[in-house]
Amino acid sequence: MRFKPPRLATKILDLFLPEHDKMYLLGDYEEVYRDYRRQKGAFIAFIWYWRLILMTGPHFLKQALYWRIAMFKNDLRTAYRNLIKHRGYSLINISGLAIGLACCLLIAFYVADELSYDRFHKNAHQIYRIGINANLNGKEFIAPLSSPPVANALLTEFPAVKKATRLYSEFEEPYVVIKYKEKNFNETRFFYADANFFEVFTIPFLEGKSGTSLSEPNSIVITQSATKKYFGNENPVGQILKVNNSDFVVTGMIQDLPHNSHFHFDFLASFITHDFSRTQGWVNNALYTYILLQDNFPPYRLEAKFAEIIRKYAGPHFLATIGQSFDEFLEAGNKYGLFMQPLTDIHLHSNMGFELEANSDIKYVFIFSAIAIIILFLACINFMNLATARSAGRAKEVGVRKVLGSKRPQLIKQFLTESVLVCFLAAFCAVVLVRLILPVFNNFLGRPLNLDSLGQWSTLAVLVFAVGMFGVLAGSYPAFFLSAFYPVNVLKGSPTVKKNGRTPLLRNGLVIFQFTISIILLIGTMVVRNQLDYIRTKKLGFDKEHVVIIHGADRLRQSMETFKQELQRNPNIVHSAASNTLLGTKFDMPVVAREGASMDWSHGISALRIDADFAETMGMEMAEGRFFSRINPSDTQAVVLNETAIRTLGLMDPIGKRIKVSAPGQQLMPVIGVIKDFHYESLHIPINPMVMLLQPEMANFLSVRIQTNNLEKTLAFIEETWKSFAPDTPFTCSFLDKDFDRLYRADRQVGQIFFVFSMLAVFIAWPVAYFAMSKWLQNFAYRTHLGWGVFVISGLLALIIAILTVSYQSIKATRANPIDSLRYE
Amino acid sequence: MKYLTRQEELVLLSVFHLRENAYLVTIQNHLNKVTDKKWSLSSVYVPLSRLEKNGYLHCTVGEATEKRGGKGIKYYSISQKGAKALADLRNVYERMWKGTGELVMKEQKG
Repeated sequence: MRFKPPRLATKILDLFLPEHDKMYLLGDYEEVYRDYRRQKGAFIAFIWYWRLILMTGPHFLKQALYWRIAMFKNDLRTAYRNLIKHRGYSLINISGLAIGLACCLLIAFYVADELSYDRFHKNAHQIYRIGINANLNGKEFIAPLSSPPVANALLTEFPAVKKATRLYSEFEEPYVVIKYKEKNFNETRFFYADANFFEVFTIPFLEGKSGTSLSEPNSIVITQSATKKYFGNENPVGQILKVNNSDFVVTGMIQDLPHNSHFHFDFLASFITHDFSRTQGWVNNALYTYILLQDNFPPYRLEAKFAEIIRKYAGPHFLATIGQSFDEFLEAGNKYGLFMQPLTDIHLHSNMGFELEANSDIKYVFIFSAIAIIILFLACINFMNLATARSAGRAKEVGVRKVLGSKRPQLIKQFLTESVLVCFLAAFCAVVLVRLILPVFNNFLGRPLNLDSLGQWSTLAVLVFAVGMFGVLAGSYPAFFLSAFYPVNVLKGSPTVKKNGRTPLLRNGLVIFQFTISIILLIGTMVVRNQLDYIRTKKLGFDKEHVVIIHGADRLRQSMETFKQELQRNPNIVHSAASNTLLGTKFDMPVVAREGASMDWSHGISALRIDADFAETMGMEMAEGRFFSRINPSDTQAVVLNETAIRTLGLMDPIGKRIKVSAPGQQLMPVIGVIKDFHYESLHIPINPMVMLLQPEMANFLSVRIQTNNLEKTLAFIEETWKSFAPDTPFTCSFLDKDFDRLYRADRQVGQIFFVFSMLAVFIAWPVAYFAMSKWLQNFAYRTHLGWGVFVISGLLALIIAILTVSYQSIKATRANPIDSLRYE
Repeated sequence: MKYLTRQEELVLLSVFHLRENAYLVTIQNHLNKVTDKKWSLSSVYVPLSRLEKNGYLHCTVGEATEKRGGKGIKYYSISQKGAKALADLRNVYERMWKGTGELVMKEQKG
C-alpha cells in the first residue's frame, strides 16, 4: 500500500517549509493524507493536500522571507561598509558609472524624442504626405511638394482616401507683416491651410471651433504664443489681424505645436483666401498635400494607380502650360510621378529639398544608440577592471569568510549585492546629473527634451530593471573571480590564484578595448576641430565679417536708394548693397544658355539679383571685365557670371558675349564681367555656376558693411534710419558671419559629440580612426589634409594618460611603508 | 511574566495528555476531539513551533515508518519550563475565577 501524495504539491511545500522541521512536517502531512485517502477517498485527500499550500503558505513564506531579508540586509550592510571604507575607490567607481549611465539616459531620451515625431496626431499612422518625383530633361526633381489640384483628384478617385488637406506658404515671401493696433511684427511662421486641416491633424483648440475655423475666406487660426504676443490675455476670437494690409478674422486659438512636429506655424490662414488654392495647373508644385487613408489600407495600392490619375488629370494641362502634350513630354524621356510618404517617416527618413523644416536622419538615431551601447559597455568594463584590480585587497576577506563557513554561492551573492548597490547609487547620481545637464544638452540639440517620462512608473520600472541587470552583469565577473579564491592560499599570503600562472586574458582584452575606443574618439575630436578651424579661416572669396543684414528690405521699395544714402552719412558705415537673397541660403535657378544654343533645362544656375554696390560691399574681386555700374543704365540688361559659370557654359573670351536667361523676357544679355569664384554655399558643396543680375527692385535684403568700432551705436543708427523710412515694418537684422556659421551647425555638433565622448571614455586605434575620418572629410569639397600629426599627438596623449595611470600606482607602491608588507612575509 | 496564549496553552495541555505519543497529527486529533472544532495542521504547528523555540517543549526524533513515506517523526514532551508555565497560568485562573460561581450558574440556567 503505497499512496504517495501529489508530487508537485510536495515540491512546492518543500520550497517554503522551514528547514529544521521540513522532514517531520512532510511526514506528518503524508500520514494525514493516507488517513484521508483511506477514509474519504482519493479526491478529498488530493484536494486537502493541495489546500495545505494555501493554508500553510503565507505563514511559512513570511518566515522564509524574513531570513532571506535578514541575509540581504547583512549583505547590504557589508557592501555599505566596504564602500565607506574605500571612499576613493567607491567615488571613482560610482562617478564613472554615473557619467556613463547619464550619457545613456540622455541618449535614450534623445532617441525616444526622435522617434516620437508626429505621432501625437490621432490618426498619425494613416496620414501620408504626397511628394513629386519628376525628371525634366535629365534634371531630377524630387520634393515633398505637390500641385493644388492633386488633393481633389486623389479624393475623387480613391474611396480609400478619407480626407485630403493642403498646407501652403509663399516661398518668395520670407516674412509677412502682421499688425494688431499699435503692435506689428515680421512673422515667418505663417501658413495657409484647407478647412479640413484640423480633421486630418490633431491640434487641440483652446478657443473657437476646429470644424469651421478655416472654412471662410480671411479667417485665421493662431497659436497660444501668438495670442500672447498680440492680444495678451484677451480672447483673440473675433479680433481682426492685419496681414500685409488685408484683414483676417481670428476664428480660433490652438495650442502651440509640440516641438516633435515636422511643421510649426503660429498663424494658419484659410487657404480659400488665396487664389493659388483654386489653380488647376499640375506644374506648379508649391504646396504640401496630406491624405488620410482608411484604417490599414496599404499605401502601395494607391501608388500603383498614381500614373493613371496623373495622365487623366494632369495630361490636359501640359499642352497649356508647357507647350507639349503629356505623351510628347514622356517620350522626350521626362517623368512626372507622385509618391506617398508616411507622416511618421518624415522626420527621420525624409531629406529632400523644400522640406518644411530641417529634418533629422535615422542615421543619427543609430549612431547615438551605438554610442550609448559603447558607453554602457565601457562603463561595464571599467567597473569590472576596477573591481578585479582590487581583488588582492579583498582576497583576505574572502579567505576569512570561507574559513568561517561561507559557501561560494553566498559569497557570490554578497559581491553581486555590492555591485548592484553601486549601480543603483550610480543610477541615482545619473538621474541627478541628467537633470543638471539637460538644459545644456537641450541647448546643444536646439530643442527641449522633457524628462516627464522619467516620472512614469513604466519608465522607472524599466530603469530599475535595467540598472539591476547591469549590476548583475558587471558584478558577475568579479563575483565569480573573487569567490574562487582558495582560503589556504589567501591566508598564507599569496592571494591571487593562478592555476597555471597565466594572466587573465579577459581583463587585458577589456583594457585594450577601452583604450581603443578612447583613442578613436580623441582622434575624431581633433580632426573635426581641424576641419572646423579650416572652415572658419578659409577665404571664401568675399569678406563675411562685419556685415549687417537688414531683412525685409522689400518694404523700402522706391526709397531704397535714399535709404542707402542716408546710411552712408554715418562714418562707421562703409557700404551697403541690396540683394534678393542671402549668400549661404537658397537661390532661384533660372536656365542660362549661350547665344545660339538651345535652352537646356538641366542648366539651371544660381541667380543673385543685386544692385551695383554688391561686389564692393562684399569685397568681391573681378577676374575680367567690370561689375555693374550705376552710370550705365543699360547694365540692367547685362549679366555678370562667376568663373565656374564661364567654364560650364564653355564661353571663350566671355566679355561681350551674349547669353540667354530664362524668364522674364528671355532676351539675350551681354556678359560685362566675370567675378572671381566665391563660396556662396556651404563648404560641403563645390562652387556652382552663378549669374548676377542687376535688379535692385527685387531686393529683399540689404547688406551693410560697417566698421568695428562703436558697433552698438552704428546698429542703433541703422535701426533709427529704418524706422524713419518704414515706420510700420519692424526692424530685423542679422550678421552675415553668424548666418554662415549656422551652415555648419550639424558639423559643429559632430565635433561636440566627439569631444564629449572622448572626454568620457578613457583612451588606441589609428587605422580605424584614419578610415573613419577620411570618409568624413570626403563630405567636403574643400578639406584639410589628414596629417600624421593628429595621430601622433593622440597617441602621445593616450600614452601620457596611460603612463600617468600606471605611474600613480607605482608611486603609491614605492611610497608605502615597507614594514606594512614585511609584516606579512 | 509572559503568559501563554490560549492556543499555546491548549497545545501544551494536549502534549501533556498524549504523553509518549505527542506529535503534530495526534495533537491535532486530540484538539479536534476535545474542543469540538476543526484545527488545521498549520494552526497547530504555529503555536507548537513557538512553544518549542521558547523552550516550553522538549522534542525527540522517532524512527521513520512506512506509514509516513519513510520520513522521520518528531515527538514532543513538556519541559520543566512548560510545566511551570502551565502551573502559573492555572494559579492566575484560580484567583481570577474565585467567586464567579453565581455568574456561571446564571449562564448555565439561562
